[in-house]
Amino acid sequence: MVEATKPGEKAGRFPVRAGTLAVLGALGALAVYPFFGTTYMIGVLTEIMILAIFALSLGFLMGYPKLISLGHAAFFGGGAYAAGIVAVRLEAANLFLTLVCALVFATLLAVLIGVLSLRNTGIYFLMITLALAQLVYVVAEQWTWLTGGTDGLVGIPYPELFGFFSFDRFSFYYLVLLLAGGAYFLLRLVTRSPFGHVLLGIGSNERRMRAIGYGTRVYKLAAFVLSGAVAGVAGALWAHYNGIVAPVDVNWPLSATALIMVIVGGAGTLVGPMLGAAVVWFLDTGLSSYTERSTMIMGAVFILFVFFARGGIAGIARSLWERFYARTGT
Amino acid sequence: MPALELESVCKRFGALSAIDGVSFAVEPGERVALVGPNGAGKTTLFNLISGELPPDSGTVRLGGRDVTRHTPEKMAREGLGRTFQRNSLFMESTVYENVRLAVQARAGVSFQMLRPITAYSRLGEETERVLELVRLSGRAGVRASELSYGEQRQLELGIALATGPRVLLLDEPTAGMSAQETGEMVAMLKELPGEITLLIVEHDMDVVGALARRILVLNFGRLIADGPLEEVRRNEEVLAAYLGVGEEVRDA
Repeated sequence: MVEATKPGEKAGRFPVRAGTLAVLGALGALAVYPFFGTTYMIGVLTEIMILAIFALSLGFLMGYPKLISLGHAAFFGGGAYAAGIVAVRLEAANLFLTLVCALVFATLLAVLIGVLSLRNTGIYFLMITLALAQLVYVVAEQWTWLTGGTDGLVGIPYPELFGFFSFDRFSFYYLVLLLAGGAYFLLRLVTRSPFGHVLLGIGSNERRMRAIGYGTRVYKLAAFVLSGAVAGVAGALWAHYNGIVAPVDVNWPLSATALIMVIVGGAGTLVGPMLGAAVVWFLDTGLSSYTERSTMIMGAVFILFVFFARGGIAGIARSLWERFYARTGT
Repeated sequence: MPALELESVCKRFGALSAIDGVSFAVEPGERVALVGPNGAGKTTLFNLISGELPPDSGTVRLGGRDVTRHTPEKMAREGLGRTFQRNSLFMESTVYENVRLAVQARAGVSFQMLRPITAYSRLGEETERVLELVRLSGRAGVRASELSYGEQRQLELGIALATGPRVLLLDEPTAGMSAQETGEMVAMLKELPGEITLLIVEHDMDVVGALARRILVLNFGRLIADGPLEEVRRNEEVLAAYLGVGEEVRDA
Protein backbone atom coordinates (compact mmCIF):
# COMPACT_ATOMS: atom_id res chain seq x y z
CA MET A 1 0.00 0.00 0.00
CA VAL A 2 2.81 2.37 0.91
CA GLU A 3 4.59 1.31 -2.27
CA ALA A 4 1.57 2.24 -4.37
CA THR A 5 1.60 5.80 -3.12
CA LYS A 6 5.21 6.53 -3.93
CA PRO A 7 6.04 9.61 -5.99
CA GLY A 8 4.93 9.72 -9.58
CA GLU A 9 3.62 6.18 -9.69
CA LYS A 10 0.47 5.81 -11.69
CA ALA A 11 -1.43 3.18 -9.84
CA GLY A 12 -3.53 0.90 -12.02
CA ARG A 13 -2.55 2.49 -15.31
CA PHE A 14 -1.31 0.85 -18.46
CA PRO A 15 2.07 -0.48 -17.40
CA VAL A 16 4.78 1.60 -18.98
CA ARG A 17 7.05 -1.38 -19.34
CA ALA A 18 4.61 -3.34 -21.52
CA GLY A 19 4.24 -0.35 -23.84
CA THR A 20 7.99 0.17 -24.11
CA LEU A 21 8.58 -3.51 -24.81
CA ALA A 22 5.96 -3.44 -27.56
CA VAL A 23 7.64 -0.42 -29.16
CA LEU A 24 11.12 -1.95 -28.97
CA GLY A 25 9.73 -5.20 -30.40
CA ALA A 26 8.14 -3.34 -33.30
CA LEU A 27 11.34 -1.41 -33.97
CA GLY A 28 13.33 -4.65 -33.95
CA ALA A 29 10.91 -6.32 -36.37
CA LEU A 30 11.03 -3.31 -38.68
CA ALA A 31 14.83 -3.33 -38.52
CA VAL A 32 15.17 -6.92 -39.73
CA TYR A 33 12.24 -6.85 -42.17
CA PRO A 34 14.14 -5.59 -45.29
CA PHE A 35 16.29 -8.73 -45.24
CA PHE A 36 13.19 -10.87 -45.86
CA GLY A 37 10.65 -8.52 -47.39
CA THR A 38 9.90 -7.58 -50.96
CA THR A 39 10.99 -4.29 -52.48
CA TYR A 40 7.35 -3.34 -52.74
CA MET A 41 6.71 -3.89 -49.05
CA ILE A 42 9.84 -2.00 -48.09
CA GLY A 43 8.36 0.94 -49.96
CA VAL A 44 4.99 0.51 -48.26
CA LEU A 45 6.57 0.43 -44.83
CA THR A 46 8.68 3.49 -45.63
CA GLU A 47 5.55 5.36 -46.60
CA ILE A 48 3.68 4.24 -43.50
CA MET A 49 6.54 5.18 -41.17
CA ILE A 50 6.68 8.68 -42.67
CA LEU A 51 2.93 9.06 -42.17
CA ALA A 52 3.36 7.64 -38.66
CA ILE A 53 5.76 10.47 -37.79
CA PHE A 54 3.17 12.91 -39.10
CA ALA A 55 0.36 11.29 -37.10
CA LEU A 56 2.62 11.20 -34.04
CA SER A 57 3.15 14.96 -34.24
CA LEU A 58 -0.60 15.62 -34.38
CA GLY A 59 -1.30 12.98 -31.73
CA PHE A 60 1.07 14.75 -29.36
CA LEU A 61 -0.96 17.93 -29.79
CA MET A 62 -4.36 16.22 -29.52
CA GLY A 63 -3.47 13.90 -26.67
CA TYR A 64 -1.62 16.17 -24.24
CA PRO A 65 -2.66 19.84 -24.44
CA LYS A 66 -5.79 18.62 -26.29
CA LEU A 67 -5.42 21.00 -29.21
CA ILE A 68 -7.30 19.78 -32.26
CA SER A 69 -5.72 21.27 -35.36
CA LEU A 70 -7.21 20.82 -38.80
CA GLY A 71 -4.28 22.48 -40.50
CA HIS A 72 -1.45 20.11 -39.79
CA ALA A 73 -0.82 19.38 -43.46
CA ALA A 74 0.59 22.92 -43.70
CA PHE A 75 3.62 21.86 -41.65
CA PHE A 76 3.99 18.47 -43.32
CA GLY A 77 3.60 19.94 -46.81
CA GLY A 78 5.56 23.04 -45.87
CA GLY A 79 8.48 20.86 -44.81
CA ALA A 80 8.11 18.78 -47.98
CA TYR A 81 8.21 21.88 -50.18
CA ALA A 82 11.16 23.34 -48.27
CA ALA A 83 13.16 20.13 -48.72
CA GLY A 84 12.05 19.77 -52.34
CA ILE A 85 12.90 23.34 -53.26
CA VAL A 86 16.36 23.04 -51.72
CA ALA A 87 16.94 19.72 -53.51
CA VAL A 88 15.59 20.75 -56.92
CA ARG A 89 15.95 24.51 -57.24
CA LEU A 90 19.27 24.73 -55.40
CA GLU A 91 20.36 21.26 -56.50
CA ALA A 92 21.54 20.46 -53.01
CA ALA A 93 20.11 17.15 -51.83
CA ASN A 94 22.38 16.93 -48.81
CA LEU A 95 20.33 15.18 -46.13
CA PHE A 96 21.24 17.60 -43.36
CA LEU A 97 20.53 20.60 -45.55
CA THR A 98 17.10 19.44 -46.70
CA LEU A 99 16.08 18.21 -43.25
CA VAL A 100 17.24 21.36 -41.49
CA CYS A 101 15.56 23.60 -44.06
CA ALA A 102 12.32 21.66 -43.70
CA LEU A 103 12.60 21.81 -39.91
CA VAL A 104 13.30 25.54 -39.83
CA PHE A 105 10.58 26.38 -42.35
CA ALA A 106 7.94 24.26 -40.60
CA THR A 107 8.96 25.75 -37.25
CA LEU A 108 8.58 29.32 -38.49
CA LEU A 109 5.27 28.47 -40.11
CA ALA A 110 4.08 26.91 -36.85
CA VAL A 111 5.10 29.99 -34.86
CA LEU A 112 3.12 32.18 -37.25
CA ILE A 113 0.02 29.98 -37.44
CA GLY A 114 0.23 29.16 -33.73
CA VAL A 115 0.39 32.79 -32.61
CA LEU A 116 -2.65 33.63 -34.73
CA SER A 117 -4.76 30.56 -33.97
CA LEU A 118 -4.03 30.09 -30.25
CA ARG A 119 -5.88 33.30 -29.44
CA ASN A 120 -8.92 31.08 -29.83
CA THR A 121 -9.99 27.81 -28.29
CA GLY A 122 -12.05 24.79 -29.28
CA ILE A 123 -13.86 24.90 -32.60
CA TYR A 124 -12.59 28.40 -33.37
CA PHE A 125 -9.00 27.25 -32.98
CA LEU A 126 -9.72 24.36 -35.33
CA MET A 127 -11.31 26.63 -37.95
CA ILE A 128 -8.47 29.15 -37.85
CA THR A 129 -5.80 26.46 -38.24
CA LEU A 130 -7.79 25.17 -41.22
CA ALA A 131 -8.10 28.62 -42.79
CA LEU A 132 -4.44 29.52 -42.33
CA ALA A 133 -3.31 26.13 -43.64
CA GLN A 134 -5.43 26.63 -46.75
CA LEU A 135 -3.57 29.91 -47.31
CA VAL A 136 -0.36 27.90 -47.40
CA TYR A 137 -2.05 25.60 -49.91
CA VAL A 138 -2.98 28.53 -52.14
CA VAL A 139 0.58 29.83 -52.06
CA ALA A 140 1.91 26.38 -52.99
CA GLU A 141 -0.51 26.18 -55.87
CA GLN A 142 -0.01 29.70 -57.23
CA TRP A 143 3.68 30.44 -56.80
CA THR A 144 4.45 28.36 -59.86
CA TRP A 145 8.08 29.26 -60.58
CA LEU A 146 9.07 28.24 -57.08
CA THR A 147 6.72 25.37 -56.29
CA GLY A 148 5.82 24.03 -59.72
CA GLY A 149 2.18 25.03 -59.18
CA THR A 150 -0.50 22.40 -59.73
CA ASP A 151 1.99 20.08 -61.46
CA GLY A 152 4.00 19.95 -58.29
CA LEU A 153 7.71 20.04 -57.80
CA VAL A 154 9.18 17.05 -59.60
CA GLY A 155 12.53 15.31 -59.72
CA ILE A 156 13.42 15.34 -56.03
CA PRO A 157 16.21 12.78 -55.55
CA TYR A 158 16.93 10.58 -52.55
CA PRO A 159 19.18 12.55 -50.20
CA GLU A 160 22.94 12.19 -50.10
CA LEU A 161 25.65 12.80 -47.53
CA PHE A 162 28.40 15.21 -48.61
CA GLY A 163 29.03 13.39 -51.88
CA PHE A 164 30.30 10.18 -50.38
CA PHE A 165 27.01 8.40 -49.72
CA SER A 166 23.75 8.41 -51.64
CA PHE A 167 20.65 6.89 -50.13
CA ASP A 168 18.75 4.24 -52.06
CA ARG A 169 15.43 2.57 -51.35
CA PHE A 170 17.03 0.22 -48.85
CA SER A 171 19.12 2.68 -46.86
CA PHE A 172 16.36 5.32 -47.00
CA TYR A 173 14.09 2.81 -45.25
CA TYR A 174 16.56 2.72 -42.37
CA LEU A 175 16.84 6.50 -42.32
CA VAL A 176 13.06 6.76 -41.96
CA LEU A 177 13.02 4.03 -39.31
CA LEU A 178 15.71 5.86 -37.37
CA LEU A 179 13.86 9.17 -37.52
CA ALA A 180 10.50 7.58 -36.67
CA GLY A 181 12.05 5.93 -33.62
CA GLY A 182 13.88 9.14 -32.76
CA ALA A 183 10.73 11.26 -33.02
CA TYR A 184 8.84 8.79 -30.84
CA PHE A 185 11.48 8.67 -28.12
CA LEU A 186 11.96 12.44 -28.22
CA LEU A 187 8.25 13.13 -27.72
CA ARG A 188 8.05 10.41 -25.10
CA LEU A 189 10.77 12.20 -23.17
CA VAL A 190 8.92 15.49 -23.57
CA THR A 191 5.63 14.06 -22.31
CA ARG A 192 7.34 12.83 -19.15
CA SER A 193 9.17 16.09 -18.48
CA PRO A 194 7.90 18.99 -16.36
CA PHE A 195 6.85 20.67 -19.61
CA GLY A 196 4.89 17.59 -20.65
CA HIS A 197 3.04 17.57 -17.35
CA VAL A 198 2.07 21.20 -17.90
CA LEU A 199 0.63 20.24 -21.29
CA LEU A 200 -1.31 17.40 -19.71
CA GLY A 201 -2.66 19.81 -17.10
CA ILE A 202 -3.75 22.25 -19.79
CA GLY A 203 -5.54 19.45 -21.63
CA SER A 204 -7.24 18.39 -18.43
CA ASN A 205 -8.25 21.71 -16.83
CA GLU A 206 -6.93 24.90 -18.39
CA ARG A 207 -8.88 27.19 -16.08
CA ARG A 208 -7.25 25.70 -13.00
CA MET A 209 -3.84 25.83 -14.65
CA ARG A 210 -4.23 29.58 -15.02
CA ALA A 211 -5.49 29.90 -11.45
CA ILE A 212 -2.31 28.26 -10.15
CA GLY A 213 -0.08 30.54 -12.19
CA TYR A 214 0.53 29.05 -15.63
CA GLY A 215 0.37 31.41 -18.61
CA THR A 216 -1.14 28.61 -20.63
CA ARG A 217 -0.93 30.18 -24.08
CA VAL A 218 2.85 30.19 -24.25
CA TYR A 219 2.98 26.49 -23.32
CA LYS A 220 0.39 25.69 -25.96
CA LEU A 221 2.40 27.65 -28.51
CA ALA A 222 5.58 25.75 -27.59
CA ALA A 223 3.75 22.44 -28.02
CA PHE A 224 2.25 23.59 -31.31
CA VAL A 225 5.66 24.60 -32.68
CA LEU A 226 7.32 21.38 -31.53
CA SER A 227 4.54 19.42 -33.20
CA GLY A 228 4.83 21.46 -36.39
CA ALA A 229 8.60 20.92 -36.51
CA VAL A 230 8.21 17.14 -36.24
CA ALA A 231 5.56 17.22 -38.98
CA GLY A 232 7.98 19.24 -41.13
CA VAL A 233 10.68 16.57 -40.82
CA ALA A 234 8.14 13.94 -41.86
CA GLY A 235 7.31 16.15 -44.85
CA ALA A 236 10.96 16.33 -45.92
CA LEU A 237 11.17 12.53 -45.87
CA TRP A 238 7.93 12.40 -47.86
CA ALA A 239 9.42 14.66 -50.55
CA HIS A 240 12.53 12.50 -50.88
CA TYR A 241 10.54 9.29 -50.86
CA ASN A 242 7.99 10.29 -53.51
CA GLY A 243 10.35 12.36 -55.63
CA ILE A 244 7.56 14.91 -56.00
CA VAL A 245 5.73 17.43 -53.81
CA ALA A 246 2.33 18.59 -54.98
CA PRO A 247 -0.39 20.84 -53.53
CA VAL A 248 -2.26 17.75 -52.22
CA ASP A 249 0.54 17.42 -49.65
CA VAL A 250 -0.55 20.73 -48.06
CA ASN A 251 -4.27 20.42 -48.64
CA TRP A 252 -6.84 19.91 -45.91
CA PRO A 253 -7.82 16.28 -46.74
CA LEU A 254 -4.34 15.29 -45.60
CA SER A 255 -4.92 17.13 -42.30
CA ALA A 256 -8.21 15.26 -41.93
CA THR A 257 -6.51 11.93 -42.69
CA ALA A 258 -3.97 12.62 -39.96
CA LEU A 259 -6.83 13.42 -37.57
CA ILE A 260 -8.45 10.07 -38.42
CA MET A 261 -5.14 8.28 -37.88
CA VAL A 262 -4.87 9.81 -34.40
CA ILE A 263 -8.45 8.96 -33.45
CA VAL A 264 -8.34 5.40 -34.80
CA GLY A 265 -4.97 4.80 -33.16
CA GLY A 266 -5.89 6.46 -29.89
CA ALA A 267 -5.27 10.04 -28.78
CA GLY A 268 -3.60 10.40 -25.41
CA THR A 269 -0.82 7.98 -26.27
CA LEU A 270 2.13 8.31 -28.62
CA VAL A 271 2.14 4.75 -29.92
CA GLY A 272 -1.55 4.91 -30.83
CA PRO A 273 -1.34 7.54 -33.58
CA MET A 274 1.61 5.69 -35.16
CA LEU A 275 -0.39 2.45 -35.23
CA GLY A 276 -3.34 4.43 -36.52
CA ALA A 277 -1.24 5.60 -39.45
CA ALA A 278 -0.56 1.99 -40.43
CA VAL A 279 -4.19 0.91 -40.08
CA VAL A 280 -5.52 3.87 -42.03
CA TRP A 281 -2.93 3.33 -44.76
CA PHE A 282 -3.94 -0.30 -45.22
CA LEU A 283 -7.66 0.46 -45.16
CA ASP A 284 -7.42 3.40 -47.51
CA THR A 285 -4.44 3.24 -49.87
CA GLY A 286 -3.83 -0.48 -49.40
CA LEU A 287 -7.39 -1.62 -50.08
CA SER A 288 -7.72 0.76 -53.01
CA SER A 289 -5.79 -1.70 -55.20
CA TYR A 290 -8.52 -4.28 -54.57
CA THR A 291 -11.71 -2.27 -54.38
CA GLU A 292 -12.97 1.15 -55.34
CA ARG A 293 -14.85 1.33 -52.08
CA SER A 294 -11.78 1.59 -49.84
CA THR A 295 -12.62 5.14 -48.75
CA MET A 296 -16.09 4.00 -47.77
CA ILE A 297 -14.67 1.13 -45.74
CA MET A 298 -12.26 3.55 -44.07
CA GLY A 299 -15.17 5.83 -43.23
CA ALA A 300 -17.15 2.97 -41.71
CA VAL A 301 -14.19 1.88 -39.60
CA PHE A 302 -13.70 5.45 -38.40
CA ILE A 303 -17.36 5.70 -37.38
CA LEU A 304 -17.11 2.40 -35.52
CA PHE A 305 -14.14 3.69 -33.57
CA VAL A 306 -15.86 6.97 -32.72
CA PHE A 307 -18.98 5.13 -31.50
CA PHE A 308 -17.52 2.13 -29.76
CA ALA A 309 -13.83 2.69 -29.07
CA ARG A 310 -13.14 6.30 -28.23
CA GLY A 311 -9.68 5.36 -26.97
CA GLY A 312 -8.74 3.92 -30.37
CA ILE A 313 -6.49 0.91 -30.81
CA ALA A 314 -4.36 1.99 -27.86
CA GLY A 315 -7.47 2.23 -25.69
CA ILE A 316 -8.56 -1.30 -26.67
CA ALA A 317 -5.07 -2.62 -25.92
CA ARG A 318 -5.14 -0.88 -22.56
CA SER A 319 -8.49 -2.28 -21.46
CA LEU A 320 -7.51 -5.78 -22.61
CA TRP A 321 -4.32 -5.47 -20.62
CA GLU A 322 -6.15 -4.22 -17.54
CA ARG A 323 -8.57 -7.12 -17.75
CA PHE A 324 -5.65 -9.54 -18.01
CA TYR A 325 -3.87 -7.72 -15.19
CA ALA A 326 -6.93 -7.89 -12.94
CA ARG A 327 -7.31 -11.61 -13.53
CA THR A 328 -3.69 -12.50 -12.79
CA GLY A 329 -3.60 -10.17 -9.76
CA THR A 330 -0.95 -7.65 -8.84
CA MET B 1 0.20 47.48 4.86
CA PRO B 2 -2.90 45.35 4.16
CA ALA B 3 -2.35 41.98 2.48
CA LEU B 4 -5.44 42.54 0.36
CA GLU B 5 -7.28 45.76 -0.23
CA LEU B 6 -10.35 46.56 -2.34
CA GLU B 7 -11.37 50.12 -3.10
CA SER B 8 -14.85 50.87 -4.54
CA VAL B 9 -14.82 47.76 -6.75
CA CYS B 10 -17.81 47.60 -9.10
CA LYS B 11 -19.04 45.01 -11.59
CA ARG B 12 -22.22 45.11 -13.65
CA PHE B 13 -23.75 42.35 -15.75
CA GLY B 14 -26.09 44.25 -18.05
CA ALA B 15 -28.65 45.94 -15.82
CA LEU B 16 -27.61 43.93 -12.76
CA SER B 17 -25.14 45.56 -10.43
CA ALA B 18 -23.41 42.41 -9.21
CA ILE B 19 -20.79 44.17 -7.10
CA ASP B 20 -21.50 47.72 -6.09
CA GLY B 21 -18.68 49.79 -4.64
CA VAL B 22 -17.13 47.22 -2.33
CA SER B 23 -14.20 48.41 -0.19
CA PHE B 24 -12.36 46.59 2.57
CA ALA B 25 -8.85 45.72 3.67
CA VAL B 26 -7.47 42.52 5.16
CA GLU B 27 -4.30 42.57 7.24
CA PRO B 28 -1.55 39.94 6.77
CA GLY B 29 -2.40 36.74 8.61
CA GLU B 30 -5.97 37.83 9.28
CA ARG B 31 -8.78 35.30 8.80
CA VAL B 32 -11.94 36.89 7.46
CA ALA B 33 -15.25 35.31 6.52
CA LEU B 34 -17.37 36.62 3.67
CA VAL B 35 -21.04 35.76 4.11
CA GLY B 36 -24.30 36.73 2.50
CA PRO B 37 -27.48 35.24 1.07
CA ASN B 38 -27.40 33.27 -2.18
CA GLY B 39 -26.78 35.50 -5.16
CA ALA B 40 -25.27 38.25 -3.00
CA GLY B 41 -22.19 38.31 -5.23
CA LYS B 42 -19.65 36.42 -3.11
CA THR B 43 -18.26 34.25 -5.89
CA THR B 44 -18.32 37.22 -8.29
CA LEU B 45 -16.26 39.17 -5.78
CA PHE B 46 -13.76 36.27 -5.63
CA ASN B 47 -13.58 36.23 -9.42
CA LEU B 48 -12.90 39.96 -9.45
CA ILE B 49 -10.08 39.57 -6.93
CA SER B 50 -8.52 36.53 -8.60
CA GLY B 51 -8.58 38.05 -12.08
CA GLU B 52 -11.13 35.70 -13.65
CA LEU B 53 -13.35 38.74 -14.20
CA PRO B 54 -12.17 42.31 -14.74
CA PRO B 55 -13.86 44.90 -12.52
CA ASP B 56 -15.63 47.79 -14.26
CA SER B 57 -14.13 50.25 -11.83
CA GLY B 58 -12.29 50.35 -8.54
CA THR B 59 -8.90 49.09 -7.43
CA VAL B 60 -7.59 45.78 -6.09
CA ARG B 61 -4.28 45.83 -4.23
CA LEU B 62 -2.25 42.85 -3.12
CA GLY B 63 0.44 43.64 -0.54
CA GLY B 64 0.14 47.31 -1.52
CA ARG B 65 0.60 46.69 -5.26
CA ASP B 66 -2.13 47.60 -7.72
CA VAL B 67 -3.19 44.32 -9.33
CA THR B 68 -6.49 45.44 -10.86
CA ARG B 69 -7.23 43.63 -14.11
CA HIS B 70 -4.29 41.23 -13.79
CA THR B 71 -4.89 37.83 -15.44
CA PRO B 72 -5.50 34.86 -13.11
CA GLU B 73 -2.02 33.46 -13.80
CA LYS B 74 -0.42 36.78 -12.93
CA MET B 75 -2.44 37.00 -9.72
CA ALA B 76 -1.29 33.53 -8.78
CA ARG B 77 2.31 34.57 -9.34
CA GLU B 78 1.71 37.64 -7.15
CA GLY B 79 0.85 35.31 -4.28
CA LEU B 80 -2.91 34.90 -4.52
CA GLY B 81 -4.35 31.41 -4.25
CA ARG B 82 -7.96 30.35 -4.55
CA THR B 83 -10.18 27.32 -4.36
CA PHE B 84 -13.35 26.88 -6.35
CA GLN B 85 -16.86 26.33 -5.05
CA ARG B 86 -17.17 23.39 -7.40
CA ASN B 87 -14.03 21.26 -7.40
CA SER B 88 -11.64 22.12 -10.20
CA LEU B 89 -9.18 19.24 -10.24
CA PHE B 90 -7.08 17.34 -12.78
CA MET B 91 -9.42 14.36 -12.69
CA GLU B 92 -7.36 11.86 -14.70
CA SER B 93 -4.19 12.50 -12.71
CA THR B 94 -3.26 11.12 -9.31
CA VAL B 95 -3.53 13.13 -6.10
CA TYR B 96 0.25 13.38 -6.11
CA GLU B 97 0.38 14.66 -9.69
CA ASN B 98 -2.36 17.22 -8.99
CA VAL B 99 -0.41 18.77 -6.16
CA ARG B 100 2.95 18.49 -7.91
CA LEU B 101 1.63 20.44 -10.88
CA ALA B 102 0.75 23.30 -8.53
CA VAL B 103 4.14 23.08 -6.80
CA GLN B 104 5.82 23.15 -10.20
CA ALA B 105 4.04 26.38 -11.13
CA ARG B 106 6.49 28.43 -9.09
CA ALA B 107 9.55 26.17 -9.38
CA GLY B 108 10.80 27.67 -12.65
CA VAL B 109 11.29 24.32 -14.38
CA SER B 110 8.14 24.22 -16.49
CA PHE B 111 9.98 24.62 -19.80
CA GLN B 112 12.33 21.72 -19.06
CA MET B 113 11.52 19.20 -21.78
CA LEU B 114 14.26 16.62 -21.84
CA ARG B 115 14.45 15.21 -18.33
CA PRO B 116 11.71 13.21 -16.65
CA ILE B 117 9.82 15.13 -13.99
CA THR B 118 10.89 12.60 -11.36
CA ALA B 119 14.46 13.91 -11.71
CA TYR B 120 13.38 17.11 -9.98
CA SER B 121 13.42 15.93 -6.38
CA ARG B 122 12.60 19.39 -4.99
CA LEU B 123 9.15 19.09 -6.51
CA GLY B 124 8.62 15.77 -4.78
CA GLU B 125 9.65 17.00 -1.35
CA GLU B 126 7.40 20.03 -1.51
CA THR B 127 4.52 17.94 -2.86
CA GLU B 128 4.76 15.54 0.07
CA ARG B 129 4.80 18.43 2.51
CA VAL B 130 1.57 19.82 1.05
CA LEU B 131 -0.06 16.38 0.98
CA GLU B 132 0.57 16.12 4.69
CA LEU B 133 -1.02 19.54 5.30
CA VAL B 134 -4.24 18.42 3.61
CA ARG B 135 -4.02 14.88 5.06
CA LEU B 136 -3.85 13.10 1.72
CA SER B 137 -0.40 11.48 2.06
CA GLY B 138 -2.02 8.05 2.25
CA ARG B 139 -3.96 8.66 -0.96
CA ALA B 140 -1.11 10.05 -3.09
CA GLY B 141 -1.29 7.37 -5.78
CA VAL B 142 -5.06 7.45 -6.24
CA ARG B 143 -6.60 9.12 -9.26
CA ALA B 144 -8.47 12.32 -8.35
CA SER B 145 -11.65 10.99 -9.97
CA GLU B 146 -11.60 8.02 -7.60
CA LEU B 147 -11.48 10.06 -4.37
CA SER B 148 -14.51 10.55 -2.15
CA TYR B 149 -16.13 13.97 -2.42
CA GLY B 150 -14.65 15.10 0.88
CA GLU B 151 -11.18 14.02 -0.21
CA GLN B 152 -11.62 15.87 -3.50
CA ARG B 153 -12.41 18.96 -1.45
CA GLN B 154 -9.15 18.42 0.48
CA LEU B 155 -7.28 18.10 -2.80
CA GLU B 156 -8.92 21.29 -4.05
CA LEU B 157 -7.39 23.02 -1.02
CA GLY B 158 -4.06 21.22 -1.51
CA ILE B 159 -3.65 22.49 -5.06
CA ALA B 160 -4.25 26.07 -3.92
CA LEU B 161 -1.87 25.69 -0.97
CA ALA B 162 0.86 24.19 -3.14
CA THR B 163 1.27 27.44 -5.05
CA GLY B 164 2.53 28.98 -1.80
CA PRO B 165 -0.05 31.78 -1.54
CA ARG B 166 0.24 34.72 0.83
CA VAL B 167 -3.47 35.39 0.42
CA LEU B 168 -5.85 32.47 0.01
CA LEU B 169 -9.46 32.78 -1.11
CA LEU B 170 -11.57 29.79 -0.09
CA ASP B 171 -14.92 29.49 -1.85
CA GLU B 172 -17.16 27.42 0.42
CA PRO B 173 -14.50 24.92 1.52
CA THR B 174 -17.07 22.73 3.30
CA ALA B 175 -19.82 22.88 0.67
CA GLY B 176 -21.62 19.56 0.36
CA MET B 177 -19.59 17.90 3.12
CA SER B 178 -20.90 15.66 5.89
CA ALA B 179 -20.63 16.92 9.48
CA GLN B 180 -17.57 14.77 10.06
CA GLU B 181 -15.85 15.93 6.88
CA THR B 182 -16.65 19.54 7.78
CA GLY B 183 -15.05 19.07 11.19
CA GLU B 184 -11.89 17.70 9.57
CA MET B 185 -11.75 20.53 7.05
CA VAL B 186 -12.10 23.13 9.83
CA ALA B 187 -9.31 21.47 11.79
CA MET B 188 -7.14 21.47 8.67
CA LEU B 189 -7.79 25.14 7.97
CA LYS B 190 -7.04 26.04 11.59
CA GLU B 191 -3.63 24.39 11.28
CA LEU B 192 -2.61 26.43 8.24
CA PRO B 193 0.51 28.54 8.72
CA GLY B 194 -0.39 31.75 10.57
CA GLU B 195 1.15 34.03 7.94
CA ILE B 196 -1.35 32.99 5.28
CA THR B 197 -4.17 35.51 4.98
CA LEU B 198 -7.54 33.82 4.54
CA LEU B 199 -10.74 35.12 3.02
CA ILE B 200 -13.44 32.47 3.31
CA VAL B 201 -16.88 32.34 1.74
CA GLU B 202 -18.99 30.13 4.01
CA HIS B 203 -22.65 29.51 4.78
CA ASP B 204 -22.17 27.39 7.89
CA MET B 205 -22.03 29.83 10.81
CA ASP B 206 -20.31 27.27 13.03
CA VAL B 207 -17.50 27.07 10.50
CA VAL B 208 -17.39 30.85 10.25
CA GLY B 209 -17.24 31.15 14.04
CA ALA B 210 -14.47 28.54 14.27
CA LEU B 211 -12.24 30.12 11.64
CA ALA B 212 -12.78 33.86 11.57
CA ARG B 213 -13.15 36.65 14.06
CA ARG B 214 -14.13 39.21 11.48
CA ILE B 215 -17.13 38.89 9.18
CA LEU B 216 -17.95 40.75 5.99
CA VAL B 217 -21.60 40.62 4.93
CA LEU B 218 -22.48 41.06 1.29
CA ASN B 219 -26.05 41.65 0.07
CA PHE B 220 -27.09 42.58 -3.46
CA GLY B 221 -23.46 43.33 -4.26
CA ARG B 222 -23.00 45.81 -1.41
CA LEU B 223 -21.02 45.35 1.77
CA ILE B 224 -23.61 45.86 4.52
CA ALA B 225 -21.59 44.91 7.56
CA ASP B 226 -17.94 44.45 8.60
CA GLY B 227 -16.99 43.50 12.12
CA PRO B 228 -16.73 40.78 14.77
CA LEU B 229 -19.26 37.94 14.55
CA GLU B 230 -21.23 38.94 17.69
CA GLU B 231 -21.61 42.46 16.44
CA VAL B 232 -22.61 41.47 12.92
CA ARG B 233 -25.19 39.05 14.30
CA ARG B 234 -27.04 41.92 15.95
CA ASN B 235 -26.84 44.17 12.88
CA GLU B 236 -30.36 45.08 11.75
CA GLU B 237 -29.57 45.21 8.06
CA VAL B 238 -27.91 41.79 8.22
CA LEU B 239 -30.90 40.30 10.00
CA ALA B 240 -33.20 41.78 7.37
CA ALA B 241 -31.06 40.37 4.56
CA TYR B 242 -31.02 36.90 6.08
CA LEU B 243 -34.63 36.79 7.22
CA GLY B 244 -35.77 37.91 3.80
CA VAL B 245 -37.35 41.08 5.15
CA GLY B 246 -37.44 43.56 2.29
CA GLU B 247 -36.12 47.09 2.48
CA GLU B 248 -39.60 48.58 2.12
CA VAL B 249 -40.89 46.63 5.14
CA ARG B 250 -38.02 47.83 7.30
CA ASP B 251 -38.38 51.41 6.17
CA ALA B 252 -42.13 51.44 6.71
